[in-house]
Amino acid sequence: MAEAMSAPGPDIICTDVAKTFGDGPAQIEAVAPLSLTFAGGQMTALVGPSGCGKSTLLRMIAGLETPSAGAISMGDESPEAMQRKGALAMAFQDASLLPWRSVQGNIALARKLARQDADPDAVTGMIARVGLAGFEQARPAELSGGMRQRVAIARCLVTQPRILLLDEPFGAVDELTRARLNAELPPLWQASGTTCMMVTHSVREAVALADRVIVFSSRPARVVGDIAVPDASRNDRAAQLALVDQVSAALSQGWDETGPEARQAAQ
Amino acid sequence: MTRFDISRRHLMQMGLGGVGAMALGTRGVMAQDTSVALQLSWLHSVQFAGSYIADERGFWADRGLSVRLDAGGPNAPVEPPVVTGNALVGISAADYTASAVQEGAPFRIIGVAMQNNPFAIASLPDNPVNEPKDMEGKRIGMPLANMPVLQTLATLNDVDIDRIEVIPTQYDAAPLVAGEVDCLLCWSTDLPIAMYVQGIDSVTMLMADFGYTLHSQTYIATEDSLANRRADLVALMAGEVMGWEEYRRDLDAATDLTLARFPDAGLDRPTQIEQARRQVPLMFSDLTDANGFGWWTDDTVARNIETLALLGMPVDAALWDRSILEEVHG
Amino acid sequence: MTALARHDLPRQALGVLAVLLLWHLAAQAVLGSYMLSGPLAVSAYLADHHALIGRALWVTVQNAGWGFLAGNLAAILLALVVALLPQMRVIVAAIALVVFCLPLVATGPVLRVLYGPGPGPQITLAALSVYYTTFIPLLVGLRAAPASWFDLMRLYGRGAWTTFVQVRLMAALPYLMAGLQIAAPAAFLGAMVGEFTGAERGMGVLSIRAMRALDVDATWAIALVAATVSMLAYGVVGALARRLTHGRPDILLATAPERARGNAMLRGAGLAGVTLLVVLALWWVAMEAFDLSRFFAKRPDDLWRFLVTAPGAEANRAALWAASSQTLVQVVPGYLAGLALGAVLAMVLVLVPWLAGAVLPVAIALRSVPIVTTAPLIVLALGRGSAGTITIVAVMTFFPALVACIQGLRQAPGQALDMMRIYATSPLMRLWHAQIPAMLPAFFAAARLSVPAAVLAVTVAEWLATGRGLGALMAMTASTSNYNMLWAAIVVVAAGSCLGYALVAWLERAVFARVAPEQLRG
Repeated sequence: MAEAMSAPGPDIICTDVAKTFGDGPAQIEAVAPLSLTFAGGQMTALVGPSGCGKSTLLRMIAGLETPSAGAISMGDESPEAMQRKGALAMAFQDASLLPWRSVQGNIALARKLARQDADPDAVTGMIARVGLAGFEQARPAELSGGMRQRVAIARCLVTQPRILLLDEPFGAVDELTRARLNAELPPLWQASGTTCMMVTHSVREAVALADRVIVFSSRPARVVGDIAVPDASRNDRAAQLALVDQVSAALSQGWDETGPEARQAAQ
Repeated sequence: MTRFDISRRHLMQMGLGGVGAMALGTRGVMAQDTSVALQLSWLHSVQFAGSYIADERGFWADRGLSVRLDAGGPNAPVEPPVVTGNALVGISAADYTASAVQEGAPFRIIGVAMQNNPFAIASLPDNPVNEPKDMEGKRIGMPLANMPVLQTLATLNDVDIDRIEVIPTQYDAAPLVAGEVDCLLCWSTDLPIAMYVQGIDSVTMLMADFGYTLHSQTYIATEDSLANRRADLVALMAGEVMGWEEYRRDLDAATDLTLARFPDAGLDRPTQIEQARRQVPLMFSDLTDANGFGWWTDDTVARNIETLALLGMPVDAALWDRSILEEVHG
Repeated sequence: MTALARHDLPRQALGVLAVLLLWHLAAQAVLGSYMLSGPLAVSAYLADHHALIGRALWVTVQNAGWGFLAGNLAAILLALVVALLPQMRVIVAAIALVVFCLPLVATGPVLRVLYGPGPGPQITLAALSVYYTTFIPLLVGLRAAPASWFDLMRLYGRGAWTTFVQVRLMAALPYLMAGLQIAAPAAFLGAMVGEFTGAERGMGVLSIRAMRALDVDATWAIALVAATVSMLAYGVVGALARRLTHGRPDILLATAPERARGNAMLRGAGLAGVTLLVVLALWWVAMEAFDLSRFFAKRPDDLWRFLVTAPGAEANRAALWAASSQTLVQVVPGYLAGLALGAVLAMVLVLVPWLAGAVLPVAIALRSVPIVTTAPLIVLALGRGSAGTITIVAVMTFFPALVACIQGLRQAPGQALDMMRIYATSPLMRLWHAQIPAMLPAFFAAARLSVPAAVLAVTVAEWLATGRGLGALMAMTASTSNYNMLWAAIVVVAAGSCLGYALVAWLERAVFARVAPEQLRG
């Protein structure tokens, strides 16, 4: 495809980004001040304990949450500007398809929302590429969980985003399906130069798909590991296992059994 | 009292009913006839047959009047349309008119269709109420709102009201038939006929025979109309008088006309013909034979005022204005 | 529910046959008492008078249809206004409730005066009967969508309008349809009551005529036709809803009460105060704007004089109080009994599931039978004492409570129930620990909406049958031109209904704060 070899997506630069929810005694610090740069065209995986704030970081990058402090830029633009350009796409843990729209309707809606022309061929083409040819008119309720996630990914990709954010997109499907989706879907965006970020619970998935894995501590999220995944490791089982061990070690280091509340109380 | 002009009514309907108002359509206005409305006091039935005759025979059209007959009902207002001018004349009763006047309505009674009030005590033959005294020790079914009526009857006839057990009932004879009560306070032209048609014998004690004198089915109009729309009032009442005289001449024809005119009202002939018969003695008397339909005298007014006083509604003889009738009959 | 209905078809047919047989036997037993007409006599009446009934039905259905349209359009517009101006929500909902609580018995004659002859009052009363039960679920529906759908819209930099069109409207559709379904029979009831204000034809006219004429066959036949049409309307809108929408809302009308910020009492009082002021202003301005005659269109200052400063004020207050307490002692036991019976029967049906298949469709159908037709029948059967009136109120609250509670009980999470089954927990324990808590939101939703319904039932019964209490007072004062008292009664009924509604909402919040704090929205 023409767009497949286009220029890499922009860098995502987080400068002293922090997020707190609530105020007064009920205040919760979700993300401690973080400064990180995610290279354009790369896939970065964010891993960390449940509730550590990694999803919040992703949502801030998506422009769905406003940072309490610091700034996020993509190239020279804010997340909001990227939103308006239709340059962002995000997949959620549940597919979040609109139940009253068909597969085709859901995917076409993304182009409409992104202010792009309708281009029915692009829509049907994308449906075929995620392996759902023949299901164009099906409603989400008629699809399996894995099929719904395929639609969700197709919805993301049909707008040819410069930034693709995946919030545990395969978290709700079974292991076998997940393996298949991991094998079939990433090639769709890997070649396009899109800057990707993915939140996942699966260390194995992170190592298999990402160019770089960032490991967060318990809430508030601090970076406790930043591990590059060399291209050479892709087809090297031993190298993969070593990386998994490395990420897991960082995870246990940042893991705080007693939780943030107890830690705050102790301070 | 301001009358509703078309635009204001229209505006109001749009505001209140939205789409509903559109379904109302516009009221047709005859080219040369003056259009007025007569607000009836109940659902269409032979109770108003005289008016139907006046309409069908052209008694009003001959006088350049086109009269719309607005139905009443169990929850229908009678006096307000007359106050607001939606209806030129309304069919009320002396007590209702008196209370409306007490509330500030500028009404005059311009005709009396029923010389005697049809209020009655209905009972069954094996446990009859033939005179007011018989009510003592009995259970009577009636709307609580009619307590003043019962009190007045008791006072007039020296009955100990504390010895009557009042059981609240509403619009039907079932409680009497089912034995829940011993007698009913009702209209002689209403529930007793229902029982008669169902083949149930009943005893009807007309309260008018025991001092409860009250004009009923009275024609009311506002002082403003009396001052400014006399011609219309005279034309309307003239038609009514002729219609009711025709009615008296042929009850069967009047009943048939009613049935034919309102095929959707659920009327049946046996009930209607019986009602037509029973209301004749209430409407026509030596007094009307001598002076014409709708007439009254100072004497009957005085007795009405007496009853109204007992009902707690002090009124003045000036409530009755015979000038329209005098023009009609004169 | 459809699947259930299909499976239970033979059982339902059996149920219908049993009802017919019981009906016939009961009618035979009380033959000649002018209380109950049997299926044969009713069929004979219908055969003889099918043309008359058909014409009357057509008139009433038309008026109900226009009212249905107007009332639901108003509800939709109101909900859209609130959706676009969320800060208006609380006050608009409060005023909508006040208007819904206006007693039909009293608004009828007022509307007749405003409209003059014609179908205006019928249509307006039908509209007034439907708009609230559409407005409330729609309000919930417009907010009922997963957060990620809204995220999706923002992801492409889209604002409130796109979100509204793409997400809210469509997500609200099942809720709208649920509201419309309840509205369909309610519109028919409103149109029938409207006909009591001086219509020339229609089912309401026929039913009054039949009652007064002691025509028991006609009374039952008309009631049966009205009930059937109402049930059909309910069914047709329901079928339409299933075709049009992608699913039913989980719990009908179950809007979780807001978690009060700050002092709940203070906030409630503030809302009540603001609502009162707005309602008074609307009342006054509307009457002045249309220049309505003070003879019948009483202003707030007229009522103030009538109840406070006038010479007879004390007697007026006493009369109003007497009627109110007569009504209160009938409506409260009936309301509580109806709710309790509904909840208890729902639980029994959960414990004895094979019964539910037969009972639920009947209950859903009976819920839509108009009160003006049931009231006379119950009075015929139970007499004019408190028993009859209380029963009418109970019936009016029973069916909505039953249907809501059954739907609520089914919301119990399957995994929690499975977990209990693993420990061989008794059905009673499962009911207590999992199903009843799951039922509560639906139960309270029904309890809240049943308050105005119970008040409607008691006033209709008092007006048509027993001749006491506020219902009779309103009918009587309208005919004796005591419009001060009529408006005072309207105020008492509307305020009382709103107060009852608020009381149930308060209780609901208190219960949830104890047993299910997560049900309270922040």
